[in-house]
Amino acid sequence: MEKMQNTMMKHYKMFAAIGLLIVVIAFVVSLQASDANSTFFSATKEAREGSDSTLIAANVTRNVIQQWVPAFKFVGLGLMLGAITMALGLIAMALRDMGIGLMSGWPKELNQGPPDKPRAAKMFPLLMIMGWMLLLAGLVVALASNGNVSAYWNNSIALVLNPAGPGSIELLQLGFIQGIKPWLGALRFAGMGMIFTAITVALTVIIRTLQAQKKILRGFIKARSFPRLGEG
Amino acid sequence: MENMLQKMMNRFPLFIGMGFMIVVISLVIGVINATNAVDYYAVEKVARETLQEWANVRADVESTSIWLPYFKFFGLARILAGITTALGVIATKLMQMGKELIAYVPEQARLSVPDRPKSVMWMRMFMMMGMLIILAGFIVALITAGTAADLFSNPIAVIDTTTPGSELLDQLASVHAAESWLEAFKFVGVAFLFIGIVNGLTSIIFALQYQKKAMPQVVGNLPAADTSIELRPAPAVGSVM
Repeated sequence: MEKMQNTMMKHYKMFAAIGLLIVVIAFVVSLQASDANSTFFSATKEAREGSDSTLIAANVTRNVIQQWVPAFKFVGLGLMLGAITMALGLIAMALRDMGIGLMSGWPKELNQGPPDKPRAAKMFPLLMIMGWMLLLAGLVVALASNGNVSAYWNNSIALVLNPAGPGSIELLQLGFIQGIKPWLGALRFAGMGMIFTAITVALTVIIRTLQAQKKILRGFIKARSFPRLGEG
Repeated sequence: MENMLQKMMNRFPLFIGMGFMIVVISLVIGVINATNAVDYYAVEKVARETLQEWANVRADVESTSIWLPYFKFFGLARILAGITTALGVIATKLMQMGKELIAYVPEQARLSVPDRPKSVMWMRMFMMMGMLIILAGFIVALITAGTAADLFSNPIAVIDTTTPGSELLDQLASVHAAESWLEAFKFVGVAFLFIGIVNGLTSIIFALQYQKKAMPQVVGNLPAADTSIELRPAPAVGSVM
């Protein structure tokens, strides 16, 4: 498991590149939404709410894109933050390996061996993966709800949506669409929060590694210098 | 050019301080805008959609909602650029430290110090690109906010009854069209800044991995009898990054 994590961490640049690609794709898709918005709002209010198929299609496009693109964009940002977490993990590993390499040249009586890996070192990859899972879950829900968004807006606003009565399928769809929006937004930020926590924990690992090295070095210098002082 | 960049990099706390100030100013403007929105929606629908006085309030609220997020992201971008610059400074110090340490080692045990990694150049490039993207977006957002102010200074009743091909409809379409791509565009800027941070970290990893590899080699190259290397002042080492 740890070996797999270490191998994955070495590919942090790839994760960053995939993240950037996703954010750029999200931007390109949003240009399509911009085009649909332009078509829809160029018409008068009466026409927008009527049964013109071009305007209804433009309305469906702009609403569908608004539903899933933010979730997709956040998956990209999450991957990039994950790459930053992995790079911090690699820094911690390099510091530890450097310490072990340096200590290997010390006399046996002064070399107590490397300290145990802090628990935080095992925790941050898990937090990062949990953050990714939340962002992915948000994307899956957003994509799954696209059917409802598309079905709801694929109607004339004035003729079908506004006169829809209680218990009608249109009102149920509207309730569903409006209902998932707030928690989907919160889920995205929960995912990002997890990844930011992973970054903080990875920084803690680096700080603890440096503190442990300072302690070991201090012990080494003390042990080497006291006999000499005695001789003097 | 290099010296100028070095000086700029050392001023990273200034970047972060300025970014933080921008974010705080955005918060204050946001609170003022929210108060205006509360006043607007406290009025009955007929009055707010027909009276010029309320149309002007709406124009303020709508235009601020367009440019303010970009202003806030401009502050965030400065903070992220400050973090990237700080990482660059760490990498520079690590490499300088390595050079200075090598200068203490007897000549026969010295190793050559590698050239500056390309990630340093990429770090600066992505950071500047990210800043430029957000700045460009901010300028477009200001222009769009101007159009929105013009448009919404007309009562809603006038906008809703406008004829096809009118200036008001053109403005409405351009405001909504710009809003949808501007929202995604700022995240492209943030993504570029994240890539800058990744490259900054790559430079640190490069420096540490070199030190990890070089240290045992230097120790191995040291003359066996030389157990009391006399410390002497290192020659001045110029900046390496």
